[in-house]
Order: sequence, then structure tokens, then C-alpha cells
Amino acid sequence: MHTGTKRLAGLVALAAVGLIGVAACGTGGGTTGNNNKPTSSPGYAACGTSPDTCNSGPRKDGGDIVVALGKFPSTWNTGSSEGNVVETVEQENLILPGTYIFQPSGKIQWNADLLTAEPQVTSTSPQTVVYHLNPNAKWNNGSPINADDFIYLWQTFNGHDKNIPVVGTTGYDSISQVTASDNGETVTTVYSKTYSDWRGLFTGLLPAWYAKQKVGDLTTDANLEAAFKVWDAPPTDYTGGPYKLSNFQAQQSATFVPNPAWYGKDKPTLKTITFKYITDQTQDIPALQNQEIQALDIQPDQDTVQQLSQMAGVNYEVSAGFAWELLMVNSTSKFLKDPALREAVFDAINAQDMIDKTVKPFFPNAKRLYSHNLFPGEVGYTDVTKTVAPDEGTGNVDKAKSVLQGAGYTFDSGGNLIAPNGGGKVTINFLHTDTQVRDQSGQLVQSYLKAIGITVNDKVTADLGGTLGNFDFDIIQFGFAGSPLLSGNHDVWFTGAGNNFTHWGDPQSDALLDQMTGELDLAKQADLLNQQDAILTKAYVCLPLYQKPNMVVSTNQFINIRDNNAGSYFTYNTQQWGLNASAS
Amino acid sequence: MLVFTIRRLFQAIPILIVASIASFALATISGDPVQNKFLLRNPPPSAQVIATTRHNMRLDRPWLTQYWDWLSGLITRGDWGPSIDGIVIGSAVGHALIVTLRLIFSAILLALVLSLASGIVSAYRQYSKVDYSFTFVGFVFLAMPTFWIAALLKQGAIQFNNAWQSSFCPGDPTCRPIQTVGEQSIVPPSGFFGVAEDWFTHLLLPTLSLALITYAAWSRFVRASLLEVLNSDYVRLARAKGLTPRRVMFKHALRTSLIPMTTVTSLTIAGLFGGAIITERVFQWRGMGTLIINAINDKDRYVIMGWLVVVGFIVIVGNIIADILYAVLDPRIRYE
Repeated sequence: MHTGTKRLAGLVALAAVGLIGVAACGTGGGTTGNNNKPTSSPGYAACGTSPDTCNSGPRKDGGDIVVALGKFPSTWNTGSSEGNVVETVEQENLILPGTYIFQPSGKIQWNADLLTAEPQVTSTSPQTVVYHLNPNAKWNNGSPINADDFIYLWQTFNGHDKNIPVVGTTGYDSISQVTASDNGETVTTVYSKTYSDWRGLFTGLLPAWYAKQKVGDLTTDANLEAAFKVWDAPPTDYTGGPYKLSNFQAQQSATFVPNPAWYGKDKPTLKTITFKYITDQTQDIPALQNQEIQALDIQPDQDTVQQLSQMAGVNYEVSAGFAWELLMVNSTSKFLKDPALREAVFDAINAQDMIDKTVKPFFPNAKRLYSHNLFPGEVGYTDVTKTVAPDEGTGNVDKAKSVLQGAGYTFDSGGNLIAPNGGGKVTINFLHTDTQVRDQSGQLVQSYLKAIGITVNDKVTADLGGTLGNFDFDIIQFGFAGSPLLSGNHDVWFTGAGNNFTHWGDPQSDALLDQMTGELDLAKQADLLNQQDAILTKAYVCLPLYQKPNMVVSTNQFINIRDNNAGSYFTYNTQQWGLNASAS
Repeated sequence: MLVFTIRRLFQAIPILIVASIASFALATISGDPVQNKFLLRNPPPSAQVIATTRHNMRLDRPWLTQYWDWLSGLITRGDWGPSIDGIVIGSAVGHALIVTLRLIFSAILLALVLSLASGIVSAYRQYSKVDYSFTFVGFVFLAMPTFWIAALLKQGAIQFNNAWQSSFCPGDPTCRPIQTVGEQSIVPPSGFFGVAEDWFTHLLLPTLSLALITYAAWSRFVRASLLEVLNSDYVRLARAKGLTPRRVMFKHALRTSLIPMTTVTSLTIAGLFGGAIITERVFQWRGMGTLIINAINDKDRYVIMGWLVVVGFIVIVGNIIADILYAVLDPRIRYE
């Protein structure tokens, strides 16, 4: 017994020493130079200016990498509503080929491994797109990746059979015909109505040969319905990508090995890529410290960045993603239905101060976003809100008070804002989810609006979806996922659309949005969105704050891993991942 | 005894039903799983997809009908209901239960051995240095929250692993004597000893996390209970009759003092399910803890209900077993 106690005490002592050691060790990561705020470490230093090529370098053969993912697949069918999960798509990037790949910069790049030339719109009326497939592109069983796969995908996702529970039919339901020529190596798609985001289609082809093998002929709806269920199972039997799933342990890990039939230019050099499912983000860093994982892609916070900056041999990058943080107004709420009050509120809020105090401590490159529809770097991006409403988000209290007084608002003896026509004391409910950044934002908004006599009730919601869907807020802070594909903006701002949580709408704005979804030229599409943005900005229903940060982390043993927030995710180039040839 | 057991099982049914109604109501109030899953998607899924998913999740039925369909489906067809994430709930709960029971039973076993040993020594050598030492250690662990001790053990193991690697296997990232993530290796070793070693190295830290805290409480309980018995008249009589101290302790005192421990142990099982939620989170085990946390996050109400039914059943059975053990340990107790 005595000995046992000693051992126990020794273990506790060991644990305590461990904690002290973790706190004390550290070689220092990259810093901005002022305030020692970490930004990125050397491997990723160029990602700010060259996001598509940073952290590149020569590889050497071999190596096993374990990558942490935050969610395990309950089904591998990413076309189903249950399986349409980012983490599952990130894994299927290794095995399912697609016509376009979204580059980290947002550039939509045609897949030169799968296609022999960039797909062309050969006609605009009706819209016709032609794909020329690489004759060497083959599935792992030797079957060519050809028109059969395009036709199968279209038939499954075009919504003609309501019994196939696909997560979405958008785009595929605009195609009237998919035809094969040149022995299946040329695919021609004809659209019944113009679809501007056609590049987002056929980005995850499924092997028609495998579906046929499982259910038989794919010309009947019954067999198409049965085939859709085939993709629920772990995809150990098929691959058209650089890797092949060799081992899947439910809820634990998925291990991929190189696909010997891979036809692409860059050959995989790693022996294995394993995705280990770590569902609690706070456990990622300890797993990295224990070398149980070598890479991860997460939402950063101050503690994580601080810990990483003190770890030797680990590269990381905090970058602006294609999601954005915003303040949204319910334009039908008791007080904020008045545009003048909305304008004053937006003028009084100091967005730059919010950024400086909430995200800058761990994301020093955070900048204000001045567009509701586009991100800096995208074709056609302009600082719309800065031009149209220069005082918005500047904390200009004088301007805000002047707008209010002009609209008939008064202040009582206690400095409280009183609405005109006996509307009473102005009180606003500010909602947000319970995160460190948003909690701080709530307090800041309280202080900004107190300066113009508005009482803000800072409230936390545990059910963001429900709060938005039921319009149970006056102002709400949350994040929206964006995309280089622009037509998604239609449903965010169109009157009464499913994702329009402002309750606001404008006929001219709606007309521009409709026009935008029918425009095939990306530059013209962006121009239409900028015009729409000007109308939206003047309505003061949404204040863009900043692009939300994302973070990729990898040990310096590995090279060519970089973040990709644009829609193809950080596994978009796993064929290039490898052991760093210049690492010791 | 059989009649008693059956009666207790039947008595448990209304308790389970009331608990399930309360849980179903709470799960419903917590939010709409379809809204939670789809609302912020950009582009959003079509209205048809949302309607179909709502139908599949039975959300288009009245609340009471939803509950009744779930209950009747579970009882008559073994249908645990749909999951918003496409989880097959029955098998998911079964798998998670095996994982968690492995952890809980290891922790109970370790805690029992430690608490009995230290409790007996402390009681036998009351107010000695050994007793004070055990008392001190017990209170230290009693004061530690589960999540804290788990994190502490994990960080300690990481430091130990790194030191081990640099001493014995430099450059080999797989060289780790103690595992800190998951309940098994990515590629589990083959053979009995390989599997056993893999289990042990993964089980060590989570078991310690749960066991140390449980041990702390139990060791105090064993000590107090044993001291009470050791000071009782029948033990004094046994000593006066000339029985050896060993015989007095193990034949007469210990057995009696263990009777209240059966209640404590069975009641602790419920507590350990709670503790396992935190421990599994820290060590990324896919047990009942992870299952319920994910289900709550996703507002996956039928998974929540599945968890409740299984855990509720185990707690009730645990209590019945404790009652039965009472009779086994104490000949004076007889159930009619």
C-alpha cells in the first residue's frame, strides 16, 4: 500500500511538472513585432500575399500524416442532407474528382488532371457548357471517368425523382440535357435556364460503374433511388482521386493510402493520410503536443494561437476566410423599423474598435469588410459600404445624434433616447451566441449605443437557427458562410428569401439579384451585386464587420499543406502533400 | 427475492416513462434540429429538402404524437427513431455503451481496490502517519474537479511521452507509452497481448481520472464505516474471545462495513456516467458522454432519448443489484 501511494504521488508530481513544462517551454512563433501578437509562423509567412502557393516546397518519399477533423461521418453520402458535412467533404476530396477546384485565393480553377482544357460556354442561349475529359483519367478499377459519371450525377441531383433525398438540386435542376460524345470523353451540358454558378457543378463526381455494380441499370428511378444509398457506406471500393480509403474505424479515424491508378500530374508521396476525429477543439493542441496528430484546420481563438506560438516545429497560419461576421437588424422590430434609427445605430457603432478589441488579439490582420457580397481579392470587389455610407461603423456619435434629432427623436433628462410620437424609451435586444468574441462585442455595442441614449439588452442565444428563423431579435451578431460562387447571395437579400433574416426587401434590389443569377460573366455578376449592395447599405439592415479567421496548422516535417476557405477546403491538394525534403 | 426483483423492475417502468417525457419535453424546447442544421447554409437547401427532413424527423406531427410514436416504436419494433445526422441510434448507443462501460468498470474496479486498501489501513491504524497521509491524499483528490485532473494527467503524459521518445526512440512520433486520444490506436495491433497493451495504454489516463476522484470519496466512506464496526460490541466480543486481529478484521468487521458501500457504489454508477462525459471529452473517447454532447449540440432529440433510456435503465438495474447484494451481505435482510 505504501508503495502504491508513492507511485500515485509520483504520477501527480509528473503531471504537475508537465503542466509547468508546457507553460514554460516555447521557442516563439511568428509575431507582428508589436505587442508580440502571433500571426503566422515561417512556413506560412507568404500566405497573406500568395495564398495559392505558400508553404510550397520539394517533397521526399514516405511519411505518415495524421490530420485532426472535428466531426466524424455518420454517412459518407455528402449529397444527402445528413452527410452534407464539411469534414466529410474534406475526406472525399481525396477520392472524388471534380471539374473545378476552388483555390485558397477564391480563384475557381479548372481541374487540369481531370480535363484536357478549360470548360467552355459554347452558347449562352441556351446556355451550353462543354467538358473535355482526360482520356487517362480513370477510376481505380480501370473504368474511365467519363460522361456516364456526369449523367449519373445529373440524374441523381436534378430533382426529377423526389424520392431521392438529395440535399440540394440547385444548378442541376437547370440542366435539361447531358450528352456524351467522343466515346464519352466529351460531355455537353445544356441548360433550360441560365445558371451563372455552373462552375460549382460536377465538382464531386461519383463512379457510375460502382452504382451499376451495386444496383444494376441506372436508367430507372427505382435503381437511382437504390443507388443513392450506396454512397452511405465508407468508400473503400472506389476512388478517382490521388488516394484510396484503406481503413475506416467508425467515429475514430479514416486512413487513406495512395491510389496506384492515380492519373494526375502530382503523384502522392505520403504512405498514409489518416484523419483522426477529435470532436473537441480544445483537445487538438494537446494531441499535437503528443504527436498524435500532425495537422489540423480549425477556427482560431486567442488561447489556441498563443499555445501554438510557443510550440517548436509547428507552422500555423491565421487567415481571413470566406465567412464573415456581421451585425444584422430585424427591420420589422419595434424600434428598428425606422430607417433613421437604424442609420444612427450603425453610425454610433465603432466597428474598427470592435475588431481591435475582440479579434485583433489573435488575428492581427483582421480588417473591416466593406461589402455585403464580395471579399477583397475577388473579381469586382469594391469598398461599397465605405463609399455609400461613409459614417457607418465609425462610431460617429455626433452624426448619429443629428440623424436622430432630424427624425424627431428626443432625449429625456437622464439622456435616454425617446422615440417620436410617444414611442417611449428606445430599448434594443442584442442577441448572439455565447462565444468570447461575441460576448465582448455585446458589451461594446452596449457602450456605443449608450452614447446615443439607447439601452441595449445583451442576450445570449443557444439556438442561433431558431432565433434567426423566428426573427426573435432586434440586432444579432453572427457569421455567414460565403463562397466564390456568387448566386448564393440571392437568397440572403431577396425579399422573403429563406436566408434573408433582415425582413427587409426592395424591388430594385430584387431585380438586380435576379439579373445577377442569370449573368454568366463573373465581372458583370460582381458589378450587379455591387449595385445591389449600394441599395442594401442605404437600408442600414446589415453591418459587415470582418472576414472570420480560419487557421491551418502543420508540423514542419510536412510541406504543401495550406488553408483553403474558398469551398474546396484544405484537403484540396493532398496529392501535393509530403514530407518536407528540406526538414531534418 | 425473484418476486422482489420483478416488482422493482415493474416499479421502474413509470419512473422511466416520467423521465422520458420530461427529457423529450426538454429536448423539444432546446430547439429544432432541422433549423439548427440547415438555416445558415449558403446556398440553403430547397424547401422540399427541409420539408422532407422535417417529415423524416417526425417534426410535422404534434408533440404528444411524436413522443408516443417514439415510445411505441421503441417498445414494439425496437425502433429508436430517426437522427438528424443519419445515425443508426440503436447501434450507436450500443457501441457507445460498451466503450463507456469499459471505462466505468475499470474506474470502479481501481477505485474499489484503492479505497478498500487505504480505508482498511486508515481504520486499522487510526490517527497514525499512514492514516493522516491517506486522509490528506483523499482530500486532495476530493477537491479536484474531474476535468481538471483529466487535463493535468493528460499534460503530464504528454511530457512523459516526449521525454521517453527523446530518450529511447528519437524521431519516431508513434513511440508513445501512454495514449491520450481515443480508446484504441488508428491501426490496432493484432494478437491478444497487442490488443491488451493497446487497450491498457488508452485506458490508463481516463480510468485514473475517474477512479482517483471516486477513490477519494470511497476511501473516506470505508474508513468511517469500518471504524464504526470496529468499535461495536460484537467486534469487541470477538477480540475478547481471542480471535486474531486478521480474523476479526476480514471475517467479522469488513463484511459488515461493506454493506453501506454497496449502496454508495451503485449510486456512484450514475455519477460516473456524468463524470465520463467530461473524461470522454478530454480523452476523445466515443462513448455515451460524447454521444450525448453531440446529440445536444445537434438537437438530435431521439439520440438524446436513446441515451436517457439506456442510462436510466442502468441506474435502475444498479440500484436493484445493490438491494440484492444487501441481502447477500447481510443475513438479517430478507426481501418478501
